[in-house]
Amino acid sequence: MPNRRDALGREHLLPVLLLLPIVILFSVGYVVPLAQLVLKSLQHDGAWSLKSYSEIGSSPAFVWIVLRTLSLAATVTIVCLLIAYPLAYAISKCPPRPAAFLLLIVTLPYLTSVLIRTYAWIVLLSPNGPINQLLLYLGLISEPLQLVFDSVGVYVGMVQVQLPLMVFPLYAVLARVNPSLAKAAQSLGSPPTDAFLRVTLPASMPGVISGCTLVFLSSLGFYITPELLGGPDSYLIAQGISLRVLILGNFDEAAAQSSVLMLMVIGVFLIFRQRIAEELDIARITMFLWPASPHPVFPRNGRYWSD
Amino acid sequence: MSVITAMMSEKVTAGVSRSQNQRGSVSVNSLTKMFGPVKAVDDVSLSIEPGEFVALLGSSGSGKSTLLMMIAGFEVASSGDITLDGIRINDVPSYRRGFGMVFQSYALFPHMTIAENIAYPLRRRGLRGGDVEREVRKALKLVALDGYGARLPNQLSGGQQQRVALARALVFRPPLLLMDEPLGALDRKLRQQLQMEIKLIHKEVGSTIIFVTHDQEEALSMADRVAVLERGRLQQLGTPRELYEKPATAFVADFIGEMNFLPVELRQSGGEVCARSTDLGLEVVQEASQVLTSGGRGLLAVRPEYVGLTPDERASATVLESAYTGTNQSVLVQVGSIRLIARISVSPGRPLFQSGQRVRIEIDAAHTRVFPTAS
Amino acid sequence: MVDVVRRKLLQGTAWAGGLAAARSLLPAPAIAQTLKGTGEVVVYDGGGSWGEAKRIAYFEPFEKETGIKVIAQPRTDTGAVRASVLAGAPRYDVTILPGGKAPTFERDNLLLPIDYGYFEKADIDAFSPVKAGKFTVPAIIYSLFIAYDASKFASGAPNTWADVWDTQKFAGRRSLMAGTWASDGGTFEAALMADGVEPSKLYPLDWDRAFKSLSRVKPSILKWWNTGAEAPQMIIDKLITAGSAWNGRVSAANEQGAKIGYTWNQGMLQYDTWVVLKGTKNADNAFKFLAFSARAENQAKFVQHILYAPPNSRAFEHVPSERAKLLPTSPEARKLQFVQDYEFWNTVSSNGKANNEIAVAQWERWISGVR
Repeated sequence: MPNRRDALGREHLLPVLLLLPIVILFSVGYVVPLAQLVLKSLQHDGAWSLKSYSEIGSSPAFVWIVLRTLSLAATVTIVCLLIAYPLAYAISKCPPRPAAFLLLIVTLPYLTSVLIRTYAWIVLLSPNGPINQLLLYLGLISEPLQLVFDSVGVYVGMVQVQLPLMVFPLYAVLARVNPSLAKAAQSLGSPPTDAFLRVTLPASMPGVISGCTLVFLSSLGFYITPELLGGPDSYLIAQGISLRVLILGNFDEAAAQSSVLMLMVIGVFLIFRQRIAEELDIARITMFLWPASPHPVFPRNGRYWSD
Repeated sequence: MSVITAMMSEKVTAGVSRSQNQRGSVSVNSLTKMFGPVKAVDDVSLSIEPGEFVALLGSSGSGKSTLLMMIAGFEVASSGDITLDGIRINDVPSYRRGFGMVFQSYALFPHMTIAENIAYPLRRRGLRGGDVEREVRKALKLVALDGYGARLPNQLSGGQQQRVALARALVFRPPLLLMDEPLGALDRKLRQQLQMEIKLIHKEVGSTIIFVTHDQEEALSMADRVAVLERGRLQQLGTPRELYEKPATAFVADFIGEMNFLPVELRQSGGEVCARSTDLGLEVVQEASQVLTSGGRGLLAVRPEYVGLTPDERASATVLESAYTGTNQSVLVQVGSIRLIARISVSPGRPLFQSGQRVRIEIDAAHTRVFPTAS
Repeated sequence: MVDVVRRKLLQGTAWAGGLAAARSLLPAPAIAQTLKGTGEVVVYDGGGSWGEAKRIAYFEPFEKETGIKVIAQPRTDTGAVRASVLAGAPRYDVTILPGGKAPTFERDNLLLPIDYGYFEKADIDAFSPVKAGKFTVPAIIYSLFIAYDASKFASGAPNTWADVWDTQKFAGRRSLMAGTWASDGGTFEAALMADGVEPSKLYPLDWDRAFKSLSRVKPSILKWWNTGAEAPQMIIDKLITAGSAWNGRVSAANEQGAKIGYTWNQGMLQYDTWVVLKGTKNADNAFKFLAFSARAENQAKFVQHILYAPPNSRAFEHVPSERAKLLPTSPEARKLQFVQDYEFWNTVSSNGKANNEIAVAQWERWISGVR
């Protein structure tokens, strides 16, 4: 009896102990530097000042660059969604083993260095590269297409990098969508396309939302791919920040611009955070704990369906 | 074609509950479904009358679900015909076949409220406004869920969800209702309750029902007729009583209820077959029409309740084990190399059978069936 | 001629620190102190063939002669180097900064004054065309010049920046360094020369005129390059026919069989300098290392391995003439070029911003279409 309180305390102690390392790591490695960054942005030459913000706020170039960054991220997100949805849908219809294999293939580019992938695209897309050579050989074009150092190159490079971020949450949701839903809709009078649009698609919206949010947010910070693959007009907020740090050593302004970018990210994240938390969780469990069986999670409707 | 179109375009009218009575006949002719080299459904023919409640019964892999999916249009038949009210529907897409369907997993649309779920088929048929509302309310009442319309599916229990699925499948008064193991996900008590409710609703709406189940008790207690399937083949289609009393094959005899199988020697003479068991000192003569063999080995099937036991110290049969269940005593008896179970009704004052006791076995030949041994 | 003017100006600025700088210089003995010592020194490596050349010409012989261990550290962005000094834990004891960056470090008090007591006077006097400074010892001199596809323009190659701008006469796409690199890229000077400004009259740069000129060439720009390898590679890949490039990169590509043409004419001499970072624990060793690397023989040895010109002009005495003429400070090359004015680039104007920052801000506006 006297141990009862102790036992209860210990029960709570274990999860706290297990969480401690990540909490420490997170605060030391992430929260503290970010706070420093924000504080730095509120200083100018060592004194408290909003000068950095007023400077970037009054710069029409910065506004334009932000808009350009947002529209690029949005385009990449939409293209990713259009490619990833059918892909994730097809994988979700596969038996567990082939599905795990296909997901691994989708992941592979994500495990390669961004720099290497980007240079590979330069080689592939260049006028003398294999893609243009093939098109020339087939007689489809008479002159090499300008695929690289153009917005096309940036989109291709970024979409490839970002695709896994879209495929995973979509797959996680689609694998959970009861396959009988589409059949039920058809039995109730919907042609297959209608059934998809009215039932399967809405049922997979959580995945669409979290996938889009992830891709959009991480696209905002892209820097290497647009810099290497982009044309003469390609200039994004991350490039501006990096040059302020690396070339100009203007940390105040870089901190202010970074804070603005971070604010945008936090804003978007807060809007969709619940969905993201749910889907990320499912995606992680599905992929990394049980790669051979993508259906470990009980559906919301209770028992999992058989055959 | 015209019938189908008429079915689709017909507006649901209020108040007429048995209006579909003359429709909903289904027939299946020589239907086969191949999955690669495997025949999931093998040359099945059956015919279902309008308003009939037919259960497709079989264990997993028997082809019962595949058969249902072909009738629903979610699987394409490899060969054979499916007709609905005399029209061949093999090439009609499911959404134009006009049936209602209930799934084991309920398949309620998670992003819609209960009312929206039930309104779905009505809206697909062009109904709007107050008509929809009225029909939805009636359907909810039918399944005893009045007032649940505004909730989301995941706020309901499994049994409630399945009742919603039933309401959704019936709200547009389909002549045919397909049910794929609808009670498989529910616990036993809820299952029995819903079995009764479904029977009542069937009486009220009068649609033809094809009901897939692996639970023979469920099939026998609910259906007008039961089709027993095994390895893709239709073993027998009959009323529960026919299945129990006159099983057409050894499989059905074994699958439905309890059955003793005794090895016998068969001899055919003219229109009759004589089955003889030397161990039991028993000889049964039956019409040869179904058994058909030119002699050899066979099985004599007899239900435990038709096996009589009399204590007899000189008899060769011995009681091995027994179980008392109140009104009955089940007794396992060994004679020679044969073991069989007898179900003896317990009458007051008469002693129960004891292990080791010697008994004489009596089998009522009128209640036996003879089957040839497979191959 | 331009060169002479520039040199004098530079000499002036190098010693503008006044007598404070001279204090450490004037007492320099005729015969340098021994460089022998103990411990270690952490030196910027630079990687690739550049790091290799430093290892052979400087690091290994220095270790052998002095007994001081050299710890070679790879490249870090200047922003990170700055941050490490501000944090009190400099990433290197001795590092190399682009000539245009060193003054900002100097201004922000991140460098130690060089102790020239360890240097030979002859070496110090021979630094040309870039003189040794209070905080800086020239490390390498290189040229940002016009490079072109030699197979495309076999006869009548582009010889001036105006030719590079002229895509009628010299067909094909172009590439210049992104203006975000400000002084490093030489793009603004090139734009003004293309518009007819004499090299001797470039500074102070006329921003409006430069951007007007850039707007003319922009439609022909395939991309603005960001790293030294890009421009030669784009010529090799036939993506562009002409543009700006660094001489070291072009020569390296040609040594590997590329056919990249170039002209020293209107080329900009740029340089990197050695600096000793404030907060170092090995300042003495750092000065000794710099004195060692300033020696003519050692710089000549360095030039054998990479085509970056030696700031110690006496090094040419030890370089074969075949090799010497490939170097941007060889007599023939020198007279066609001018030294980029890093002083201008680091001049802080009335709004508190240096020209480097002004250039970047204007470039951002221009590339965004709001200039």
